[in-house]
Amino acid sequence: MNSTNHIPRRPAGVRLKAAKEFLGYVDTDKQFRELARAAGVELPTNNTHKLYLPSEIRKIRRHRFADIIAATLPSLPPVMPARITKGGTGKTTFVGNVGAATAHMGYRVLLIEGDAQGSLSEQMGYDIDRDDLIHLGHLLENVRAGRPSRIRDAVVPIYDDGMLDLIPGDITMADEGWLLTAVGRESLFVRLMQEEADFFSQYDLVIVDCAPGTTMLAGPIMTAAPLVTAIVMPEPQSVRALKGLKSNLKELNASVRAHQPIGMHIIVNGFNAPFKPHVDNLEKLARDYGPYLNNTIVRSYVGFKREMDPDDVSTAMPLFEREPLSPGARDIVAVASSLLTLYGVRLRSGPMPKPKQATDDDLAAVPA
Amino acid sequence: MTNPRRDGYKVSGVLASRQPEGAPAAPTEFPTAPTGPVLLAIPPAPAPAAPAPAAAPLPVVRDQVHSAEWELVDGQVIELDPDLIDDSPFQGEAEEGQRYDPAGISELAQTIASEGQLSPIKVRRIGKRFELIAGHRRLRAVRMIKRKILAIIYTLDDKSAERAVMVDNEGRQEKTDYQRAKLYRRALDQAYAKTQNDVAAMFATKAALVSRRLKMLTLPPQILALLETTPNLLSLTTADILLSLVAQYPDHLDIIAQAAARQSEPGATAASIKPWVAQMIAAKSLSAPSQSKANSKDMNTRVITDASKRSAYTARLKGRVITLRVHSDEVDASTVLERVSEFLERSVTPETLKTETQ
Repeated sequence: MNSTNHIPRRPAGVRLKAAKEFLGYVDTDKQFRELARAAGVELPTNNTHKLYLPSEIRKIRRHRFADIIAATLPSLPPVMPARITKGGTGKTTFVGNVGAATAHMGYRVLLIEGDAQGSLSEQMGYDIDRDDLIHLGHLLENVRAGRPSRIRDAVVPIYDDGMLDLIPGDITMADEGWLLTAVGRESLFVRLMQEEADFFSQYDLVIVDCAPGTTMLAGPIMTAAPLVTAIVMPEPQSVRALKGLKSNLKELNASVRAHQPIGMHIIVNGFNAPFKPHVDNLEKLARDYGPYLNNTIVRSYVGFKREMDPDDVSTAMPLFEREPLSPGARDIVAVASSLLTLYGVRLRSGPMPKPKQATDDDLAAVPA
Repeated sequence: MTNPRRDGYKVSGVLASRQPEGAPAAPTEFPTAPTGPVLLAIPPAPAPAAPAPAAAPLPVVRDQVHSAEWELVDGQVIELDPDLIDDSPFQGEAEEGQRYDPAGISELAQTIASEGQLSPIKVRRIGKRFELIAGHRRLRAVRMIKRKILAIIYTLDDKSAERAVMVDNEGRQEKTDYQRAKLYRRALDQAYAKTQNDVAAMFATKAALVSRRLKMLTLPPQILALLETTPNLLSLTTADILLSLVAQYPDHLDIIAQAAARQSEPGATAASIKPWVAQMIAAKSLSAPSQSKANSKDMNTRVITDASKRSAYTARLKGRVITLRVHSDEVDASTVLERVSEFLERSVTPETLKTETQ
């Protein structure tokens, strides 16, 4: 298991048609290529398909919307927590895929592991079996103690063009007892972002994969978000789990977020049309939670099960990267673009991300 | 979406035939979209330790004459003329070479020009001027665009200032394990920390990492010399492997040093070190008798290799005669002679060679 082979990896890139779609470009292919060239993207001179990398889509986006971006105020990127108290509804799969998709749409994305199982880290191809991993718990603990957070040591580049980064996590995150006595713990994540504003303002979007159940880390993460995105399967236990999330939201909205209540958004995942209970439960969701539902349903798709080989984490990658033309990836693209609108994600000004090399910490995973 | 056939699967499509007419709208207990500004604002500057009047304008220190008029409070954020700030004498040279690359600085300058300076630099007061503690790159960037720079003032003596520069430098991602190891060593030598646990606390890291990094410094001097020029050559794991090899083959330090040097080649992996060293040592012991004979006979033979480590030329010095043998068939020997004479004529005069021994 040699994670250095895989991270940071060259992103898959997308073909011209998808690149046009991601940029909302409707003119001819030829005009699009001219636009790309004008933005400084290198196109192949022989007759091969150009695969547009996330950083190149970003370049084109910045070139095309230069005037809008120039007007963007310096501020911190929106935080999108993916949360539900029930396990196994596909939070991690969703976060990994939406992260990969939004990066390919030209946005710079930071994924944060909020689950002590470390499944997001592994899904992105990062082997968490190491002793020097710095996770969100450490960062918040440092903020609380008034120490430097060391966030720059924690971050792991996933794409080599700097468009997708990860703050990994492992089982030691479960040791969150210190939060019990932390005064003002709900504000710790906001404080982390504000203290490390330099770091966070490099990104356009921060997506956090929360743990199932109600962990103490979930409070600080939700407090930093405009909306909490719940991933629900159209199944009875999963629908009932929304009650747990609602009670969390109620408490936060009555206390730390009384000034600006946190909203809720629901994404239906793993829908299988031939299953009658799925249709029935979807109907119930539409009846009880209609206004919160995302328009797009993520279907149950076999490709999601192919994301990882249980014997070799290092080859894991989200479906969007592995099978970008599959029905599952199409659902992810539709959901991702609706979330970009909903969360008000904007391209930030500032320099283009620099290509990254594997760091020493990545090499530390190589067995002797 | 350019291709509706391939669009995502819609809720409406599933429910259209099943939703009863005029179904009551679901109650909305929570907002369905952001209720206010989505983006968290960046606080303008870290709050000063002492409660300061909220709307008081920042004092601007324009020049040396005016600077004396201000009562500068510890922890206060002020706008400074960048020319009033001197570099820290405690900033190691190792940092300067790598971090002050002009491209990076001008990129930073552009960011500051477009977005403003997001975080103030840290300085301490020395007489009427200021000395930098943290923000060497930001200072250079601001000098480039000729602006005032936001700075927090600290009152620190030399010792605390060196310590502060140390801790601040350590927190950067660019620092390699070797540089960190040296920093830890310095902290221990200067008695800023007594034990490795103290070092770990000072740099907010784990004691295990401190001890592993410090162990790097016990590598043989040949490898330390390599690290001095290329600090990012070895990861901790690689260093551990090399240390175990040093313990295993104390007589073959040169081969182990070569193995370390090979880490700079593209595609080199830590996992390949052990087998490579074992292979080289085995090869050496096989050819040892003949090689040692050849070595004792003429010490002044040099094999010059090409990029892929195949021997390309052999140069031999006997008395005052130098023989140059060209191995590759593809290389024209007369061209080599021409180039060598050209080189000797152009750049080497007897004067320059006198000082160089051997």
